[in-house]
Order: sequence, then C-alpha cells, then structure tokens
Amino acid sequence: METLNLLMNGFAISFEPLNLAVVIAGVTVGLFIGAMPGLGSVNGVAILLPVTFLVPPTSAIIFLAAIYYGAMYGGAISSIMLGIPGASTAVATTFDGRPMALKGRADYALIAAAVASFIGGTISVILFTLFAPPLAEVALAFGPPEEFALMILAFATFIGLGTDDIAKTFFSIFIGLVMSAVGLDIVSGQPRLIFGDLPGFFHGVNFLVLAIGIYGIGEMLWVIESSKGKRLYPRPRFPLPAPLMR
Amino acid sequence: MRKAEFLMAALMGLFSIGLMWKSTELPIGWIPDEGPGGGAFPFWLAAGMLVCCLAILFRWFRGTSPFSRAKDIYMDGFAFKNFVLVAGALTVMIGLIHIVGVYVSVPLFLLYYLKFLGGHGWTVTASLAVGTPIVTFFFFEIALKITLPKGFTEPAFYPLYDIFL
Repeated sequence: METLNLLMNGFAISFEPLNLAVVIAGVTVGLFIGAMPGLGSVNGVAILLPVTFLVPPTSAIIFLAAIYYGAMYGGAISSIMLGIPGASTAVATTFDGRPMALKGRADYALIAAAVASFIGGTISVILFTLFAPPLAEVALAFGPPEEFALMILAFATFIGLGTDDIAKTFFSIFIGLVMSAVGLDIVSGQPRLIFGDLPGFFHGVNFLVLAIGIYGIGEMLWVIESSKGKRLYPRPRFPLPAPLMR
Repeated sequence: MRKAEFLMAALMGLFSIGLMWKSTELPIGWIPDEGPGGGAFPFWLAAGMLVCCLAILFRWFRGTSPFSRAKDIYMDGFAFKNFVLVAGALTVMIGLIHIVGVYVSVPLFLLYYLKFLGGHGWTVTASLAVGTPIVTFFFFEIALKITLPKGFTEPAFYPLYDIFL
C-alpha cells in the first residue's frame, strides 16, 4: 500500500508543468542523440549531465530519464533509415527494420518501432515498480557463473540461428573474443596485442569503434557497390503518411 | 565468389597465425596459483580462428560450401574502383585529422564524397561541408567542452575560444 501511495505522489510531481516541459525537451534531445550512431542512451545521459544543474533535482532526474527513453527509440531511426544502428540496443532493429525501409515502407517500420518501444517500456516500468524488491535479490545473486552461462547461451544461439556454414560462425565468435582481449589483461595487468604501443589499443577496442566500422563503413561501401552510381532507395515522402489512420 | 572465399579464408588463417605468434610474447599457459597467463586467451582464441579457417578451406576444396560453387563475381571493376576511392578517401581523411585537424579534413572529405563520388549538387555539398564543422564545433567544443584534434590550425581557434568560452 505504501508503494502505491508513493507512486501516486510521484505522478502528482511528474504532472507539474515544469516537469512535463522537461520531459518533452529530454525526449527530443534524446531522439537526436539516439539517432546519432555512436552516441547511445548512456553516453547521452552522461554528456548532458551538466545541463541538469539548471533545474531542481527532481526535474533533473526526470530530464535524464526522458533522454534515456528518447535515445532508446532514437537508435531505431538510424537503424531503419540508414542501416546503421544508432545505439547498441538498436542493432536488432537493423535486421528487420532496414529491409522494410528498402521496400519503401520506412514509415511502417518507424511507427512499429515507436509502438513497440512504448509498449515494452511501459510494461517494463510497471513490472519494475511491482517487483523491484524481489528483483534486487535476483540481481545480487547474478554473479560470474550466471554471466558465463548467459554468454554460452548467446553463442549457442548464434550457431543455431546462423547459416549452415558453422565454421564461419565460429570464426566470427573467435575473432570477436580476440578483439575483446586487446588491451590490458585483467588477471596479470600486462598489455597484450597492442601492436607496438598503438595508443588506442591500450584501452582495448571500443564497441563504438567496432559498430561504426562494421555497420557504418560497411553500409557505405555496400551502398556504393550495389547502387552503381544510381539512386537506390525510394525518396522518403514528407509528410510521412500515418498508416495507423488508414 | 569462389576465389574470394579462398583468399579470405587463407588471409584470415595467416592473420590468426600472426595473432598466435604475437600472443606468445606473454605466457600462454596456466600460471599456478594465478590463473591464465596474459597471452592465454588471445592465443587459444586465435588457435580457434585458425581451426575455423582450416575447416572453411577444407570445405572449399571439397566444394561443399555454397560459396565455393558460386560462379558470380564477388567484386567487379566498378565496385573495386569505388572501394579504393572511398576507402582511400577515408584513410586520407583520418590521417589528415592529425595534421590539419578535424575542421579542415572533414569538410574536404565531405566535398570529395558528396560532390565527386555522390554526384550531389553544389547546394547540398556546400551546406553540409560548411554546416557539419560549425555544428560539430558548437556541440563538442562549446556545449560539451570536448576538444577535438586540430593539428597546426589550433591557433586559429583561440579567438573563437575567447568569444564563446
């Protein structure tokens, strides 16, 4: 009961005009940050932290949460329109959203991503509100063995869902793991695979660098190769029609 | 396609051998009471890569993988020319960042990429080539206080810092 009272109190605070304005501003900024490949929700929150000094603490938290949620959806925009995931969370959207955009149905893909993002976010927030205390215990029990099991599950899924060329799937997993081994060894603290003290390699290969290299530059080269200098995609129509109204 | 698969598998095999050789600079075995040596993970992972490459090559020789039987061309002359043009331009841009700075090399790259490779009009090219550095400057240097490499053009930015910071 006390949780509900606190929740109602929270709703009352969040409907104050300043806080609503902050939500709109945060989501708008978050959309742009999320859509920029390389800047994800976490980076967005981190770089906009100084801005929150201008408003009261509660509004600041609301602002950060709004940026986070905006960036979560914003990642889908560049995944669908460019085929480059805007954030690491939006990588999966490139698999189906991108082909839809290539067929000229980017509007459907964007709306589907927005609706899915909204429903998923709402459900997770409700569940989190209800089950936060028991979940905290589960989270604390989630140690290295569980993480290891999760990784094994992920790799098994790659191999199960990959093409019939299992050797190539294995190769990709291995090369990814080798790249994650670049930098300082966690056990002994020795630098490894830094190729003659290349400055960037010391800190390891960043996920961001990898995403830009594989998706960004890869997409760029693919477009040039497959377009043969012609326009490949249908021009986007503005204003976008509202498929939900039809 | 056939040739491409063979070449890629062979090259990656050589790369994994190189990685294995590089990893042996650190202990690759199990150090008692300490755990795996610094080179252990890269070494054995690279060994796994090598095994995979050998498997791919084996399938290639037997002709069982779809690519080893594909007759279509992997990269025709047009694609290769464009690949060289784009990859070369990217390399030059990244190299120039350290000499003339972001604010000169990025507009040059955009000019080259949009106008000469992309065939866009002068309006699009000029607005992007001029707009990108300005937006970048205000977003990173002024709003977020992140300085980007400027090379020898650094002194030209001092007056701007004096005005905006």
